[in-house]
Amino acid sequence: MVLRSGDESAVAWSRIWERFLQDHASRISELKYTLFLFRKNRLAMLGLGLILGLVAIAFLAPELALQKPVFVNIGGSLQQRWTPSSDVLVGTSWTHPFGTDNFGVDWYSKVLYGTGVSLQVGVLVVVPASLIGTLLGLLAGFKGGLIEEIVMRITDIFLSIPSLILAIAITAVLGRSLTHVMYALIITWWPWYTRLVRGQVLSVKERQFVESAKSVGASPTRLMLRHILPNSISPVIVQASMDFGYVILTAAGLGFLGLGSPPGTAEWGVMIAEGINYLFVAPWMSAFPGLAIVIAVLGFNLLGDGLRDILDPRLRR
Amino acid sequence: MSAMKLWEYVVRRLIALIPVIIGVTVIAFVLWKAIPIDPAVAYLGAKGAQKSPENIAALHAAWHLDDPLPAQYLWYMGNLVRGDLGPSFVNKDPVNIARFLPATLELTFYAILFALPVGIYLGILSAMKRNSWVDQLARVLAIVGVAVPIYWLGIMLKIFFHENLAVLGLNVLPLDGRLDPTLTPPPTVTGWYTIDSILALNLTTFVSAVLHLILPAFTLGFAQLALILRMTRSGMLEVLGQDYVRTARAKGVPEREVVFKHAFRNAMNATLTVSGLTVGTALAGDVYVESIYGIFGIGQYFLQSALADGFFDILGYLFIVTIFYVTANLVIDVLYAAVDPQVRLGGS
Repeated sequence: MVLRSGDESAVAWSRIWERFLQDHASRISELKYTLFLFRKNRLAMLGLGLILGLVAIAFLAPELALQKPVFVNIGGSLQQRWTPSSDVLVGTSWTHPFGTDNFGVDWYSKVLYGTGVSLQVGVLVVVPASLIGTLLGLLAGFKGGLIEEIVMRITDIFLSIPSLILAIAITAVLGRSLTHVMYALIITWWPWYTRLVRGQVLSVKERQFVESAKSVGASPTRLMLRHILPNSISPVIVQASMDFGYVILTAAGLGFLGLGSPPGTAEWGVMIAEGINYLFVAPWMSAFPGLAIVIAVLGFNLLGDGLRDILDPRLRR
Repeated sequence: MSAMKLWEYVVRRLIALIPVIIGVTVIAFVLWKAIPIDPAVAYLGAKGAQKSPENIAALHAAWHLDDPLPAQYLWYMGNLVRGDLGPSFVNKDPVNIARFLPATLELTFYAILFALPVGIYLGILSAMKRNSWVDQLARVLAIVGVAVPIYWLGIMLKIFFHENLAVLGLNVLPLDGRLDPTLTPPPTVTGWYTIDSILALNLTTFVSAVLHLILPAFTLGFAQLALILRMTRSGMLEVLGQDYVRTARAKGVPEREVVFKHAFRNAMNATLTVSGLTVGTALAGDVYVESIYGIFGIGQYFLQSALADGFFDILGYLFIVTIFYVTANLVIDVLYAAVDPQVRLGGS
C-alpha cells in the first residue's frame, strides 16, 4: 500500500485498533457469540423488529401522517391541537385507515403521533428508574450492614403497595399531566431494580474472581464498578427491556383514567378513553390505539424474553 | 415441618409486617404533605361549601393542619388505629371503605378463581406436551396475555358482546353493573351478591349476579392467567427433566400421579410466587375493570377520590389495599413453607 504523507496517523490508529482487538479478543468473541445467539432466536428478532418499526414510525410520523397537529402555546407549554373536519365518526377506509373521531380528526395520524409519546415515556421512566434502582441495589449488596438494612426496608415498603395504585395516588397528588405520570412511574419502578441487583450482587460478591481482585488490592470502588457491577447487570438489562413495555402500558393506563395528558392529545391511553363514549358506533376509536399498545408491549416483552435466554449463563452453553 | 415451627414463622412474619405498614402510612403522609393544595380549601370545594376564612380556619384546627409535621402524623395515625379514616371528600362522612369493599372482593375472588386453576392446568398441559400444538397455543397465550392492556380488553369485550353483534349470538351477557336493573339487591349479609342471593334463596338474583360477573372477572383474570400459565410451565419443565421424576416413571408410578404428586408439588414454588404478585395486579386492575363495567367497588371509589383530590380517601384506600396485599402475600408465603419441605424458616 502506498502511503501519502499525513497517513501516518491512520497507520497509528490502525495499530491501536489491532492492539485493542488483541487485548479484548475474548470479550469480542463473546460478543460475537451473543449476537449469533440473538440472530438465531426468532422471537427475540421479532421483538426487535417490532420495536425498530415503532421507532421508525415515531420519527417518520410527520411524513406518514395524513393530518398534522398544530401546536399552540398555552401558559408557556406547547399543546397539541387537531383540526376538526366534517368527516365525523367515519369508519376505516382508504382516506381514513383507522377511521375518524367525533370531531372528524383522522385517527390513524393520531395513533402515529402517539407512538413517539409512548416511546419517550418508556425511555424517560425506565432509564432513571433502573439507574437509581441499580445504584442503590449495588450499594446495599456491596456495603451490607446498616446501609443495606435501610435501603432494603424502604424498598420493601414501596413494593408492598401495588405499583399502579401508588402511581395513581402520586399522580393524583402531583396534579394531572403526562410529566407527573412519568415522575410517579419512576417513583414506583426503581425498587424492583434495587431488589434485583442486590440479590445479584450478594451472589456475585462471593465468587472467586472478586476475592482475587480484592487480594491483589483492588479498591472497593473499583471492585464495585469494574468487577461486581458488570457481572450483575444482565438481569437488569432483561428487566429493563421488559419494563419499557410495561411502563408504556401503565402510562397509557393512567392516561386512560384521565390522570395523564389532557383530552384531545395524541396519547394512546387518552385515545382509548375517548373511544368509550362512541363504543358501539365507532369501535375503531378504542381499538386501534389499544392495538398499538399491544404491539409495543409485545415487542419489548419478546426482546426481554429472548435476552434472558441469551444472557443466562446456564442456558448459554 | 412441625406445626409449632410453622406457627412461630407466621408470628415472626406478622411482626415483620408492622414496620412495613407503618412505612406505607409514612409514604402516604409524605405524599399528602407534598401537595401544594390546602386540603381544607379542596374539601370545602368538593363539598360545595363556602370557602370563607372561618370555615378554612375551622378545618385547619380540626385536622391539626397547623401543627408541626410529626404531630400531624401522630394525629392521623391515632385516628387510623381507632378505625377513623377521616372525612371523605367524595362521599358522605366519614371515609367508609368497608361499604365498597365487598363488590371489589367478589370480583377479584372470581377473577382469581378463574385464572389460577385454568392457568395452572394449561401450564402443566403445555409442559407435558412440550412443542405440541397445545404448547404452542399456550405459549402464544402467555406472551399475548401479558401484553394486552386490561382496560383495552374490557372495552373490546364490551364491543363484542354488545347487541350490535347479535348476529354472532354473543349478546347474552350483561355489560354493566352488578345486577339486572329490574332486580333489587339481596339483603346484605356479606355484600357479595352471589352469596347473599343464595342466602336469600333467590335464584333469579343469583343467576343475574353470576352473569354480571362473567365479563369483568374474565377481563381481570386474563392477564393473571397468562402469568400463572407462564410460570407454571417453566417450573414444570425444569422439574420434569429431573432424576426423581424419571425414577418415579421408571418404577411404574402412574403418569397422573407423577405429574401431580411428584412434579407439580415441586414446580408449585414458581406458581405460588407469581400468585402473590397476581393479588397486587388484580387489586390494581380493579380500578380499570370497575370503571369500565360500572361496578361500584373500592377501585372506582379510589379513582373518583384521586380525580377529586380526596386526600383522606386516597390515604385510607392506600392503607386498606396495602393491608390486603401484604396479608395475601403472607398467606402465600406460609403456604409455600407448608408445602415445600426445602424452604428454610430461618431468619433471613
